[in-house]
Order: sequence, then C-alpha cells, then structure tokens
Amino acid sequence: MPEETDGLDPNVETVLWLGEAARSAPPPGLVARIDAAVRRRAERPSRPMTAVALALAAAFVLQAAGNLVAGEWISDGIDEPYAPHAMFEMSLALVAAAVCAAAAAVRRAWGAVSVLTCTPLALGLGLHGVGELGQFAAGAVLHTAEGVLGLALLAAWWWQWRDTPRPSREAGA
Amino acid sequence: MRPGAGGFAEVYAEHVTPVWRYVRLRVPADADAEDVTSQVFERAMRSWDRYDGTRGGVGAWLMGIARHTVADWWRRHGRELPTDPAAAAFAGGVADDDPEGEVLRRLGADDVRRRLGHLTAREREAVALRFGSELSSTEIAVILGVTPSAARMLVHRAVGRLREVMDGA
Repeated sequence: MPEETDGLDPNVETVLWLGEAARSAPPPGLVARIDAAVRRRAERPSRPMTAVALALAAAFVLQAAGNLVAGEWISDGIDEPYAPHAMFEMSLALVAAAVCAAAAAVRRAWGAVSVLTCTPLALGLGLHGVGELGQFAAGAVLHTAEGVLGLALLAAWWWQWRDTPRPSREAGA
Repeated sequence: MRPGAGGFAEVYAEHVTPVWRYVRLRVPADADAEDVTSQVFERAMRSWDRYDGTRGGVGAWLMGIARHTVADWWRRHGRELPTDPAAAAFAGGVADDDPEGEVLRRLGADDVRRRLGHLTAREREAVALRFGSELSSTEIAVILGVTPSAARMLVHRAVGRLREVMDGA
C-alpha cells in the first residue's frame, strides 16, 4: 500500500503510486545488449551492396576457375598461345580480387575499399572483353558481366553511403 | 526520418526507456522483461526498412511490436509457468480466462505487477501503455483500436480497480 496522503483523492493517490512504480530505468546490461545489436546492424551492408559484391566476387572466382581448368580452351577461343604460368598467377590475383569484392558484403565500412580496388578492375575487364565480342562468346559475356557489376558496385556503394549517418560538424567539433 | 541503420540508433536511444517500462509491467520478472525488450528492438531493426512514417509515429510503431512480442512471450511461456486452480476464485472471478493475470498475481516480482494481475487483460494493457510508455489517450486508442474516450475510460476503470485492490490489501 502506498503511503497515505491526507486529503488527496484516492484515485489520484493510486495514479501517483502507479506513475512512480512504473518509472524504472532500463538495466545497464539491457542497454549494452541492445547497443551492441544496433552497432552490429549499423555495420551491416545494405542488401543491394551485399548482392552486387557477392555477384562480382562470384564472377571473379568463375574467371579464375576457368583459367585454371579450361586455360587451353580459352586460349584457343581468343586465338592466343596457351600460357599456363600466366593463367595460374592471374587466377591467384582474381581470387584475391574476389575476396576484396566479397568484403563489401561483410561490413559496410569495407565497401569503399572494395569499390576502390574492384570497380576499376571490373571495368577494365569489361572494356577488354569488348575485343572478344564475336570471337569468344563465353569470355565476352563474363567480361561484360564483370564490367556491369563493377559499375553496380559503385552505384550500390554510393546509395549505401547516402544512407549512412555521419557525425555532424558540431558533434565532431 | 529516413529508414536506415543510423536513424534506428536515434530511435532506439529515444524509445528504449518507454518500451522497457511497458514490457516490464506486462511480464512477471525483470529478467523476462530484459529478454522481451531486447527482442522488441531486434524485430524493430529487422523491420526498420519497412517502417512508414506517414502511417503513424515511431513510438506507436514500436509499441505495436512490443505488444506482439509480449503476446508471443506469453504464448511461449504461459503454459510453462505454474498455475493455481483456485486463482480465479481468489481474484474475485476476474481471471477465469486470463492466465497472464493469474501468473502476475502470484509470480509478479513486485507490488505493481502483482496488483496489475487483478486487472483484466485490456485494463492491464491500457495501464502499461499509459503509465509505462506514458502515451496519451489518443495514442493508446490507436494502438488498442478504440476511441480516445474509451481508452480514457479503460485507464480510469483500471485505476479504480487498482485502488480497490490496494485498499483490500
């Protein structure tokens, strides 16, 4: 029973008691738990960024795997001498680029690094693939896809950057 | 406010206290309230991209999620908590079909929750929204799907019943 308050309407007394009893601060452990979840969420990349980054990584891996298992067929297709050493090392570089691209699907902050490294490479491969049009269809399709995905990665990063809150000048000062 | 992770951080900072207070009045123990409140914000984060500010305030949107999460909690735990067959008689017949009230009366961690167990489910909800979340009658009315005067009446009746419970204690 709340403390008696002489002369006060009993309903008012109940309201005051209820207001007081209901007013409790969230425990620090709960606040920390939700804080951590909100931070984790804030670090997650947007869905378009995730999709594009994974698709570009898959394209790079596909090209790397193609170089490793079908190098001779590719060389025949583009009418160039087969160079297994160069093919192997290019595959390693492409796998590294794929990891870089996939990083954008893991953390929002890593998107910029992925764009800086993978967009120029993907665009370069895309433009280089123009020469394969009419000559080696599989290569032309893969390189065009890489070029388009490179541009899409840049667009997705820009879209994501717009939606990422940044500290204001006042807050930073 | 544009939906986005940063926007949600601001929403969370502003609304964590009212959501906690509402949830705390609706479940028996603080540990349960912590779990439920945490789930409310996890659900809200997942749905944040779909939040439409033109359909109502963010506070009411969060309370809607909180109500559903509390209801889910009772669905999951209601059967596990021990019940007392004599409880309805003890409560003056209030809680025949209200296991939540019966559990709160018997297992509520503090006076306020035990006393809220004597109210009907609707009254308890209205009181939690009014005194826990500190919503206005109009906001409570929107959430409960009644008119503002009906919401006011519900709270008024609940306070009267609580007073009787306290007088009888």
